[in-house]
Parts: sequence; structure tokens; C-alpha cells
Amino acid sequence: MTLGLRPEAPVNKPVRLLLAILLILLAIPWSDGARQDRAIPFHPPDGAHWLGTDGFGRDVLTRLVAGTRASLAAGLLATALALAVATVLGALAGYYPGWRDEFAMRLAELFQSLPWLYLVLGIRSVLPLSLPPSLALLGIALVSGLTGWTRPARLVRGVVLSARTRDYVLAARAFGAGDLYLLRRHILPETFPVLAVQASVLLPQFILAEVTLSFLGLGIGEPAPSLGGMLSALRDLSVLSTYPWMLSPAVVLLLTLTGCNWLTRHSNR
Amino acid sequence: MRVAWLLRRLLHSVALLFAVSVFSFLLAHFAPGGFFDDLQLNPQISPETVWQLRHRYGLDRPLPLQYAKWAASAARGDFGASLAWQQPVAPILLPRLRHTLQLTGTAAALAWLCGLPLGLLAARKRRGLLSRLGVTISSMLLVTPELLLILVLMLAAIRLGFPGLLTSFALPLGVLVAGMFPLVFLHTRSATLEVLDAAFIRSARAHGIRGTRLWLVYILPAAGNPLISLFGLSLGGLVGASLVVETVLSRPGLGSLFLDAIANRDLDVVTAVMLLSATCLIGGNLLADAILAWNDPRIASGGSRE
Repeated sequence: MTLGLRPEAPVNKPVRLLLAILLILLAIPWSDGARQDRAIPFHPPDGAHWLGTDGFGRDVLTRLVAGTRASLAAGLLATALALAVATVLGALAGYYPGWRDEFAMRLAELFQSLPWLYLVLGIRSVLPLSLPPSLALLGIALVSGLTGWTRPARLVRGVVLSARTRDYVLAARAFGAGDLYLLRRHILPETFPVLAVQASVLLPQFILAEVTLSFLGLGIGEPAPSLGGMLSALRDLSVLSTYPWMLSPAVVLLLTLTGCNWLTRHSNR
Repeated sequence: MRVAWLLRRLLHSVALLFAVSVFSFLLAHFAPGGFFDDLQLNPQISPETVWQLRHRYGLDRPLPLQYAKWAASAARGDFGASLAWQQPVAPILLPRLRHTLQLTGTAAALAWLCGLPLGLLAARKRRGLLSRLGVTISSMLLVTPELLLILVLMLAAIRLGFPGLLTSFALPLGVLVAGMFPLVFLHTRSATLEVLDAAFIRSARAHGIRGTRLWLVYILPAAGNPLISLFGLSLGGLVGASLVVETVLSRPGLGSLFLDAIANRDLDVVTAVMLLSATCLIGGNLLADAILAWNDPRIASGGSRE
């Protein structure tokens, strides 16, 4: 649903913005920005530290790049996971009416009857409270991916349900094609447009999930950088009001989400 | 017909709630670590004591038995016992719930009181200033995550010299209204615009029906269905919407209770809060279904709604 918003920007604008963000992220050499310089906490931006330093004297720009990379990676992984689960369950439900359909749809209903953040936190609570940095990203992707499959699964089910009885599918079946072959070659390709739109809807949602979890201290924790983790430094009021460069993760987050939003509005058309 | 349909929906919702309770219970109990883990690290407390504590709260029994015990406690209205608070869950939950509902209820009411009339007005002149301004502001607010909005408002409060706002009711309220208003406004506007193009409105106009009568009797009911669904959603979100706001601004609501319970592995509190939030969501949807069936009888006769 476009809510009557006017999609006026040319199609390649959001793609270009997202690509630009990705390119900047990839062009800067890998570094986790963990190097501390306790002598210069909250140093204002200058030639050496373009976006200043944080409370541990760590370079904000370096951490911002690594953090955005982590948040985007978590979002992309979660999107892939959610769409994979959605495709499997949606295809099962649409292709095999009966108990499989019933099971998948009831499961979706169960997941949808909890407020999203409560569901995320509930599933998050199954993992250990503090995850090691290397696993945290995977853990967050797993948690948010498992919360987002319901709507795409319903949509996939709908597409499969109608594609199942098309003439070309029936013809292929008459030639002796098996269920798996039919699904793979004839039916699932029909769901790709739906999945593409859903991916553009889910990505910002999952990036936000990482930000929220890390902000609340249940996501990617120190010392590993992430957008949410960097924003959580701002919960300290004196940091928020005195050091404006610490707000830079907020700007990056907003830009990323705006880019995703443009993408959604265009893929919806 | 409608009553039977609603009854079926009600039964379905109850079954769903039961499933949610099992699901939340399992999530809470499969969590690694336990409430008594810290005690085990304490050398002055013997493993036997910890074992006895676990035994006293029944944490060593098989899961189905533990669930049965919890369900019995829920049936009594206690919803289990909190390990951290050493008392039944319900008395802990209720004052938190009141705080949360005060906040989210006021926010939802404000969002609807502003969003609905403004959406209608914007639809009346679709290229007008109000329409364009409203759509621009709403779509900007829609993209802005709640978290950033809170931070910006906090910053503004400090910088402009109103530090009192930080602990006030107005700041979280503003954040929540800013989150709900755009949805109400945009949905009202687009639903109304769709109806305005319909042939029966043109005929009504041709018959000389105009003004309040045209809007309240002809346009609003026809545009109502998506709005009723949205209304159900915003009722359903009353419990769940304020978690981030409450936590960041440290207000004593359900959200902070839930986070603490997750951190402490206070199992029954986690289960109860999840069940409560789901009850609210399911109840909101059910109410929306009831209003929908009353507004549009086709829905109750048309089988299940997807």
C-alpha cells in the first residue's frame, strides 16, 4: 500500500543512495575502531579524527563505518533468513492444502499475535544475555529473521496457491514433472516479485531491530561497534547535550532508512 | 449470522491466546541460565541451598508440569510467582500496566483526534496546502525511528532550557503521538480519496446531498473499513507501543519491567507480560472485527478475512 504518497523521485535515486553508502563502507579499509586513546576522550572533530572521538578516545568515524557495516550485515542476513523461512513455509502451505497449510498459517498467526518488539525480545531471551561480538551479529540476525517471516509467507502462499492450478503447471505435471521440479521451475519463480518487495520492506525493519536491541544492551555489545551500540552512548544526557558529533550514527541511520524507504516506494509500483 | 461469526472469532482468539501462553512459556524456559545462577557463584551458598531453592519454585520439574502449575496459577489470577519480587506476578503487573495505558491511551486518543479530522480535511482538497504539508510531514515522521525522535526531543529539551520536560509526561506522549499520527492521517486521507472518486458519491452530489450529511452519512462509512482495522491495531498496540520510550526515559511501565525480567530470567514475569501484550493485540483485532461486521455485513458472511 502506498498510502497515496506520491512516488516522484526517479527509480535510480534510492538505489544510488544505497549503493553510495555501501561503496563508502567497502572503500574504507577494515578496522573495528577498537584502538583507544584515553588521553583524548570526547575530542572534537579535527584533522586526525574527522568525526571526533568517543568517551574512550576511539575514532568515531572508524567506528561509524564498522558499525554501519555490522548493522547492514545484520539486516541483510535477517532479511535473507526471513525470506528463506517464508518461501519454504509459504510454498508448503500453498502447494499442499491440508494439515501443512493449516500448520504454517496457524504458526504465522501465533507469531503475529505478539507485538513485534515483544516477540523480538522474547525470542532474543532464548540466547545468552551477552553474546560474544563474533556471534552477536549472527544471533541478532537470527532473532529478527525469525520474527519477520509471517507476512511474506502469507503472500508466497497466495501466489503459490494461484500458480498451482495454472495451465502450464498442469501441463508440466501431465508430462510427469514431480512436485519439487514444479515448485522450483514453474511456481517459485512467480513469487520473486513479491519476495523482492518484501525484502525492501523487511530490510529497514531489521536494521531497526538491531539498533533497538543494541541500544537496549541486548544486541551487539561493546567493544564491537554497531549503530545501536553507538547510539546507546547518548543515553547519558551529558554526552547527548555536549558532544554533537556523537549524534553522527543517528544521521547515518536516518539516511539508510530513507534510502530503504525510497526503494520500497518504487518497488511497490 | 453476525453473532455466530463473532462467537467463532472469539473462540478462535481464546485458542490463539492459549497457544501464545505455551509459546511464551517455552521461550522463557528455554532461555539459558537461570535466576539462581548468581547464587551459584557465591562460595558462601552451598549447591544444596541453590538446589533447594530451585526445588521450592519447582524449576527442577518437567516442563509440562511447570506449565500446568503456571496455568493453574493464571486461572487463580496470579499469573505465576516472580522470583525477583517474591510475590505473585499480577500485583506487580497491574500498576505498571496502568502507567503504560495512561501514556499510550492518551497518545492514541490524541493521534486519532488530530489525524482523523485532518485526514478528512486533506482529502477534501487533495492538492491543497494542508494535504501536501500533511503528507510531507507524515511521511517524514514515518521514516524517522522512534529512538531517534526521542533522542532529538531530549536534546531539544536540554538545549532550549526545559530540562523538566525530560521527566514529564509530555515528552514520551509527543514521541508516541508522532509515531501514530502519520498512520491515522495518511490512511484517512487515502481511504477518503478512494471513496470520493466512487460513482455513488457523484450520484449523491448530483441529488443535491452535500456538506455534513454527505461526509458523515455517505463518505465516512464507505471509507471506514481500513480505518476500523487501523483503529483495532492502535488499540492492540496500546500495551506494546511504548517499550522503547519507557525504557529510554526510565518511566515505570511494562516495558522496563519486561526488560528487567528478561535480564533476571524471571520466567513467570516474562511469560505474563508477553501474554498480556498478545491479549491486548488479539483483543484489539477482535473489537475491530466486531465493528467491521457491524459497519459492513458483507464481512461476516464472506468467510474468513485475510
